[in-house]
Amino acid sequence: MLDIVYTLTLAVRDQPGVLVRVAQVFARRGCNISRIHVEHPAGTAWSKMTITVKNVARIDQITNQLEKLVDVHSVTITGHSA
Amino acid sequence: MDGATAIIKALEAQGVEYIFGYSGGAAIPIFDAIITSKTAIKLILVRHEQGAAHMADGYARATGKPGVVLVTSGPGAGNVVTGLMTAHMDSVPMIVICGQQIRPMLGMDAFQEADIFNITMPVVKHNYLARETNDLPRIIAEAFHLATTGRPGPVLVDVPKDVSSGLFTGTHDEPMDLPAYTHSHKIDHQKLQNIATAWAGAKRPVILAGHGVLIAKAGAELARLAETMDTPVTTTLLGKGAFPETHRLSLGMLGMHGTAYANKAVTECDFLLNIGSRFDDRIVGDVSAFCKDAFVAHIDIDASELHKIINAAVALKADAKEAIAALRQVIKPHKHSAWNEHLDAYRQQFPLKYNNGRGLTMQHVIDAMYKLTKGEAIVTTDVGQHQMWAAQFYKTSQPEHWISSGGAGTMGFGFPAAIGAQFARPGKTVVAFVGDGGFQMTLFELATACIHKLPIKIVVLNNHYLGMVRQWQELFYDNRESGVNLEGNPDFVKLAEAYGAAGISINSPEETEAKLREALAITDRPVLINAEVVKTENVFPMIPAGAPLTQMIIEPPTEQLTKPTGST
Repeated sequence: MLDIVYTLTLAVRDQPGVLVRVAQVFARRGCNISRIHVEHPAGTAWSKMTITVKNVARIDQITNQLEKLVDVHSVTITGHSA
Repeated sequence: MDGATAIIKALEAQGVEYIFGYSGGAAIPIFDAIITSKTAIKLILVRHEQGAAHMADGYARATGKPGVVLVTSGPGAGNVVTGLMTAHMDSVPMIVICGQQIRPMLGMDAFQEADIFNITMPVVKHNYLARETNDLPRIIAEAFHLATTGRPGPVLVDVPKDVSSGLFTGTHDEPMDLPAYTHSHKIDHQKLQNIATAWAGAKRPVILAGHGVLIAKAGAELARLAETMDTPVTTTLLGKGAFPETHRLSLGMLGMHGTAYANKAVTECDFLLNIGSRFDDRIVGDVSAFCKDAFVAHIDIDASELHKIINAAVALKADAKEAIAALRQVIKPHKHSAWNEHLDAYRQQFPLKYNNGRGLTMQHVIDAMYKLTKGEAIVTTDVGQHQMWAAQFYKTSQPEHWISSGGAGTMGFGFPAAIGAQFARPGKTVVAFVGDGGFQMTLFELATACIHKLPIKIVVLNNHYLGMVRQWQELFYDNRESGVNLEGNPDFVKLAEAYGAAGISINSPEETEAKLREALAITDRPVLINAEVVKTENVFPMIPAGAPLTQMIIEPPTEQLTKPTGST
């Protein structure tokens, strides 16, 4: 069976603890992060987090919970089978 | 000025009246600033940090204003975690300021260093570790803004001792810096129109009102909406007070131990409008069966609650008050006489009831207190059987008069919450209904209540059991009692007297009214009423966890029930 792979791109504040806040949302829902990349491009206001997860039952719920975090500005999501 | 004084100034700017606190090494500069700043804010010295958090919670729920807690690092901060979780689950605004080790020692396992920033992350709306003295006023302002806007919640601010004792050279009005936080929103009017259209075509509509109605202070608007649409209203446990339970359209509380008529109404309805409730498992039971054939509309200020449990036909992100006001613009008055008569028949057939045939019951004591206080007291509860009976028999008819730990189900909450509520509303009668189990978790705050001569009525409904767990063991675990027998309780009356409170005991239904009158006449100190009640009474109606509402048990069952699979 093909995996459903989701890639979430987050714009977040560049502050200590942001990664923990984001990771907790995934961990609490039993979701394993398969790939994560964080950078703060020079001259931009936000840090960019790119997170890849597989076969998540309620990705909409995870997205909503991420958007609720005070340090998260935006979440965009793309999904594909692989 | 040092950072600690800047904190006190920032709290003054927010209109803080009370700080519920307990000191310790890392918090000494902030406690010192309470004296040296000559602030009008009153420090309430508690006996345990959990007590402080629940007091702040009770204060917040009785006023709508955030409660403030000040504790030290390490164990002091650790002891507020249950209080934060309780407030977080029930969307209560609270500010917790903790002392912390000095910055160079962070991460070095220094004395009383706890990483409270990371420990509390899942149980707060947001938290801070202040790293610069000059940031303190902005952080405090942000903390209050976050705690009170959108869906409220607790915010923790961790302050290293060298930050609080450092020289403050900043400004007190530095603007907030929350670029990623949005709480304002535009109401989607098309969705409102869809709700109005479905409602207009409904034959059996029901409104479900949750805590969100109370937080938005939308009780009066809700009453007008219900009356205009002649639509009955049920509430969640935390929604008690959002709609007067004495109103002809009130169905009382829904859910696991809700009224039979509320559960039957929701089972039979063809239209359900949920305003400000998150479809908790205690009201929904079996998700797949809940309002299966009804049109469900859900209004919540927190978008992450929409479609979380129930896939609503219309899901609207909005403040309850604004949504109700806008909805009233697009609805046309309706009469639902047949439906309301049908529900009246259920009210007659399946009333909430109890009998004292086996001796004094908790229900009788609660009912007698309800009558004597004319239903006007602020009521706090602990968690368990007494909580459900208090919800059933102490009808709530005003906002901010029912204070109970719902989501977290925190034993030990009721009594300190009553202290916070009495500070907030000194002129009101405050009644704490507690069990003998929960009361022993925070009874040390008798000292705090006595020192301040708070005339709280503490009603210990004493069955010498963890009654709700015993009930489950009786019904679902072949009556095997495990870890629920509390024989060996202290003499609560003597205990109260030892602290300086009045103590009264009730041992029979016949003497209940006279003893409660005696208690209500005491207004210069706390009074503890120990009611020795029947030990093995069970709460009904009951819907086993995870079962559909149609499997409601109204009368005590005569055969063994299967173990529930849903929730806990």
